[in-house]
Amino acid sequence: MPLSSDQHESAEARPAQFVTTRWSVVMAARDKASPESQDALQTLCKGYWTPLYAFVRRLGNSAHDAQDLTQEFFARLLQKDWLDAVERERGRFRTFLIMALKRFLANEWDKARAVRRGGGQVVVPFDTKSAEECYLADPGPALSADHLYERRWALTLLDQTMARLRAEYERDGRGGDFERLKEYLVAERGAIPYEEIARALGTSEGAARVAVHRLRKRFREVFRSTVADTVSNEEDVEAEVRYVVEILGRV
Amino acid sequence: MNDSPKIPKCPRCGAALPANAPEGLCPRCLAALPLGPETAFTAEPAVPAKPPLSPEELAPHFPQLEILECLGRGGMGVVYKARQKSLNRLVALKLLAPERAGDAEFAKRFTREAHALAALNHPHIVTVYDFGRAGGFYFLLMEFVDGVNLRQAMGANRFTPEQALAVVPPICEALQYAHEHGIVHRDIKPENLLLDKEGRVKIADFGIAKMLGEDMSTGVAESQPAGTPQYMAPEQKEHQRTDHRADIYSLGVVLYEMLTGELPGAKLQPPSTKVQIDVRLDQIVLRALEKTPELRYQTAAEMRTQVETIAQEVPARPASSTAAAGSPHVGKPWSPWRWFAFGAVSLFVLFLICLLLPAVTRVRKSTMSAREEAEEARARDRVEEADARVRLSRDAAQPQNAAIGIVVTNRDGQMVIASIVPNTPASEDGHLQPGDAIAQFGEPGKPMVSVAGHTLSECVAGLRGREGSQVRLTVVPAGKTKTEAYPLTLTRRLLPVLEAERLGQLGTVPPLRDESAPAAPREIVIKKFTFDDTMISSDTGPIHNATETWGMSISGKERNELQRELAELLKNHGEQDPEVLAQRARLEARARLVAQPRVVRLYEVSDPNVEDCTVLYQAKLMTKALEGRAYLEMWCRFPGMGEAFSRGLDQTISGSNDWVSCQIPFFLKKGERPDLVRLNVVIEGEGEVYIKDIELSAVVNGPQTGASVTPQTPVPAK
Repeated sequence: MPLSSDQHESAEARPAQFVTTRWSVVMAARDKASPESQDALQTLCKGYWTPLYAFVRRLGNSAHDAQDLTQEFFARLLQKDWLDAVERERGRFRTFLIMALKRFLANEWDKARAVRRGGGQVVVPFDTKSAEECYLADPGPALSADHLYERRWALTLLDQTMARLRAEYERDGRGGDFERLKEYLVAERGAIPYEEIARALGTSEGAARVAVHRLRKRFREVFRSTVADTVSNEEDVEAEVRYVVEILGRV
Repeated sequence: MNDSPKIPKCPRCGAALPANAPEGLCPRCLAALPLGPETAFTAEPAVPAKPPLSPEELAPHFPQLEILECLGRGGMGVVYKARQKSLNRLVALKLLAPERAGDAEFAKRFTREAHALAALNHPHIVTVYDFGRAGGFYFLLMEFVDGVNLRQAMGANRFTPEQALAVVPPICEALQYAHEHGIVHRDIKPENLLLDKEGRVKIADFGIAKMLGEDMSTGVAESQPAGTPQYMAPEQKEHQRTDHRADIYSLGVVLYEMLTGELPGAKLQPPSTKVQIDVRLDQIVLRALEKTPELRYQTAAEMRTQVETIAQEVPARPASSTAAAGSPHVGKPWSPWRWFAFGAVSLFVLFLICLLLPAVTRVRKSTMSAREEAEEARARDRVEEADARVRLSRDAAQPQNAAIGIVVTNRDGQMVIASIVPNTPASEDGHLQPGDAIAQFGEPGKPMVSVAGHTLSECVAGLRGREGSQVRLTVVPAGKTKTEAYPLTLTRRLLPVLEAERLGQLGTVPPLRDESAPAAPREIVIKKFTFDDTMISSDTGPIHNATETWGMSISGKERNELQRELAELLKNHGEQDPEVLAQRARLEARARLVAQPRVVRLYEVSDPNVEDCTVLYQAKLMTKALEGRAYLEMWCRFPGMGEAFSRGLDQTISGSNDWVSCQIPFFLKKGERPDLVRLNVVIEGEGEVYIKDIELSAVVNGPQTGASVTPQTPVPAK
């Protein structure tokens, strides 16, 4: 796919070739927020709340303030005319979100504090407790807020991928298989003990090979699909995948 | 996070394994899985492309820039918005994708792009300021176009025919210019056509431009996809001989799309069948889209003429800013920074009532088309509305003198914009434009007199500013090419052009000056360093075979050692072996280190006793196999005020060169008396650098200053 001019990101690709993902649904809605796009946005926000929280925390806010702030941000995001967030970042949800947050922090936060809470405002249910635990438990090096956001984002993507994978296997009644095979996702090709696996699964060695191969393949597909959910152009998927991989590769 | 108990590490990759790792698996190892788009599932994970470097990561490699943000990523690399500190202007920094920096073929193409763009000097082509290598990748420093590309401008709404017609002639003009220089763009499409805030269009991304005459039969490498399929001419798609007419085809596609909102389909339907437009536009579009190059417009100029003929008859042009055809431009609005800087220039003199120059128009009439004339007249009228104007004119006896520079104020506090007249190369190269500041000699109320004694009366230029702001103007003689015309920015100091003029670097035309000004600048040598003066840095040493030459060399010996060790390791260990990885890391770290700019301190001069003048640091540099670049740097310390430096970034030397004379100025105002001046040379990358004939001198300013330069014999610090 030919790439657009370097100086300015291209507008959305014609959607005909591109599977509708959540973010592309949101983007496609543009000025008129439909229930589908609202829904999509809400799901996305719920999924990627953690990186934002980590960012806000790393900025120096206390856990309590961070909670308030993040809640307020999302409430506003889902309510008002969020499309006037930074134009250039609309291609990817990841960048859109952090830009919108920074804008919010710069402009809105003070105003928000003055407004009385409650009374018709949509409070998005986020698990702040686990986010806080997650934040504290992170053994990574002292990263800047931006880097922490990216890192958390990448890890969240992985979390989502694994969760979806697990759900798929469990739906097929193969939850036990998933549990046994998952460690071989990261094993080196040469170091997988297929005979042992065959025994554990109660199948032939050939079937064990296929099972492991299928899991790795499916992981890749689900991962890409999860990433794709956060971008609106097909071209961006590849770049975003590479970007996330790079972030995960650090440290 | 800090004093927590020992964090388990992944047995495979050694990364810290967080307790909340996804399904207990190491995220880093998960990421190492092949996740690319290929369905073929190979054993080795593909090397991921690095994400765009953040501005902070880039900053050390470009000390002369303030990297602001990443603008986007394209086929050839990443583009950032940056500010060139020394000139305080916005630039676009394009970096060749780092993973391709080692690809010689790619680097060659990049170099070609840089040269192609640098050879082109046109207001409708994005200007290239610099090109080189830093931090391991190639970079291109270009004009920053504050606006959108045509794709974004088209957006959901189609262009009106008038808007489309307004955009096409400047593009044709630019293409014609490029073609005349033997360069075919080959990738004309809306994404490569940029519109700035004034609606001025510029062609960008000559990334795959081909120089005509170059050997086209270089085999596989040339059969790489060039261009965008929907916009490619048929002969381009079939890899046949393509020439400049391929660009005309692409432009035809763009025009079609602007008018109808769609791309021309397999069965070409004339645009007038889809939208309400003049049927004569059909002819233009269809002719541009002819499958056979011979049947198309043979030149871009021809297409332009056709388009303009119709455009002239199109009624009310929209008031919006997309009207950008023709030479006279409406000046661009100034950003807040410029307003500030402009206000700060109020020290200087701005003045004189003026009327527009009949002489100027007389000469121009012969060269302008009727339409340009009309534009000119309109601009003139606006100028004439103003209260105060300056007029300097071409000296009738010396028609080569092209004066550029007006400043105008009117009641509302807005300066009126006029066009730059006449259209000299210096004004058309993008370095001087309406809206740019220009400096000048002279006093208000007095007539301007050239050195030869001719009275200069009028001239025209365009500037904007706050009421009461004052600037000085200068004359840039006609015939100056881009390399000789200095980019001008508002600064508190005297502008480079001024200095260049004083130093006689602007060519044969004598500068304007006030009658009381002395005839020539006085240059006083502060110190001429000889071989006996020991240099401060121990990195330098006298070179044996050369006389009076010092040299520095950053050798590749260490790198070769590391590489040899790596090769040895690879004989017995696999790629993923931790030792191999560690060795690679060492190589990388060293490469990064070497790419950092190293400042080599040569001399220090204490209390040079200079003020209100221009200090010049001159030296001759020679390089051998320098992978990177070298340039001069001068530091001045001002007691009670701080330090400042000047760098010769427009005179960097790379590769292998014979002796090159370099010289960097440092402008001192009244009250600025450095008590310490350091003379350095900055080296980035590996190679050998030699220096000789180092000299520090001062040039006394013109009449308005009471410069004091008392040469002393300074003692260089040891």
